[in-house]
Amino acid sequence: MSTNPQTWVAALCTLAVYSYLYKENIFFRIAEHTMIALAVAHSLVTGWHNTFIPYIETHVKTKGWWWFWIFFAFGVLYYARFLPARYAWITRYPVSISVGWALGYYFSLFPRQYAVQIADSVRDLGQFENILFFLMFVLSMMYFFLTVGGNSKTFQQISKVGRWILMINFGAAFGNTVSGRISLFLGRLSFLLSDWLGISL
Amino acid sequence: MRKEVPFIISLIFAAFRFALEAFDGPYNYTLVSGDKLLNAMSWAMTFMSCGALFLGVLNLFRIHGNNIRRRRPHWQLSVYLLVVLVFQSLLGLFTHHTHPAYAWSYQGIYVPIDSTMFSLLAFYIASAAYRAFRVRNSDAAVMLAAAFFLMMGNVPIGELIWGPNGPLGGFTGIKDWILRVPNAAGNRAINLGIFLGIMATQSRILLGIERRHLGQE
Repeated sequence: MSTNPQTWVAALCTLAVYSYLYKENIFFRIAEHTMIALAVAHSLVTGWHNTFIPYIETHVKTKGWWWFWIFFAFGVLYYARFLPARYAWITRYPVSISVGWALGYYFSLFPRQYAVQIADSVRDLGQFENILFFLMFVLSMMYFFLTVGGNSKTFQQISKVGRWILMINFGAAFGNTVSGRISLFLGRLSFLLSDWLGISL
Repeated sequence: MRKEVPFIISLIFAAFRFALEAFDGPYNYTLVSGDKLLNAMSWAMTFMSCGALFLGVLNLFRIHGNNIRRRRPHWQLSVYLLVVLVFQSLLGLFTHHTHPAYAWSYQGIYVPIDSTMFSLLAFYIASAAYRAFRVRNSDAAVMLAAAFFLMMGNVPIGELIWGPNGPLGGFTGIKDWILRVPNAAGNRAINLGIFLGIMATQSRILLGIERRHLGQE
């Protein structure tokens, strides 16, 4: 059995979370509240040490980009949402800057990756697998045609095949998720048995 | 004033970014420091988000402060949460996230709870699988078959039953083919749907039809 206090704490936390499988209880609630507190604290601390401080050193002090503080001031306006309703609308300024900046991206670079995907779908149709891929892609797309030819029997039959392809997609996603979760569970089990209890597996 | 000015600001920043992204190649906008204007603006946006670093902490204080003030059920847990939050935040801010004391609690408490929370879903996904995979029609049968081959291709027992040297490359070969052809084709169709949805929403924002991100009047 481990003599490391950190391993003991980690094992007790693991057991506290698994106790939820029996029913919701105080140990699980403590673990849940600890996790939220630590996650929020960690995002603050990493944001502070990995972004805020290095940006001040690199851009503001070294390059002399004092105008960065104007953007910082706009960022501070996010806190206006905690003010009374009379002033809470001020938070719209940083939101509108972020949304505008993202809009510029969506209308410039964003469509490129999808254009590349469409071009890639019809590339090298000399190979059987590529033809099959293209057909499956077109059939899947036809499932989403909700307006043109929606009532024709032929169209409905074709879109049914498209639905099967989408079902393969969902089945694959589900299978991968199940495998991933079970592998996480085995990892925790291995930690409890091997690292904590010292049972060699 | 309250909605029009933010909308105009959105348009200005959208046009500015579009110009920077679209014409950066031919015009090569650079600052005196030699940095690209586009990069400088992206950093400025990140720096703006730094202004809101304490937003999550303040939000938790607001929610759990209310729980404590109104003595809601389990309010003691709210006190506990705020104590842990303040302690860990101060420890991290005044030292560093690589400091042994901070790293000890992060690695010893947060990491195991986080991975156990996700692994907990393994138990619930089993019951979800039963409901999803009951073969009621052709769609469910196809989904079941795909999930079966995927899972068998992922685990060592799949290789033992039908190894990669067998016909069709065994479970691994079929899994790879499913991922490469039908899964990728279906995914691409869904992605294009998502793309059209995003572009439609962005166009609505650009035209001022969609203003919900600016909140209620």
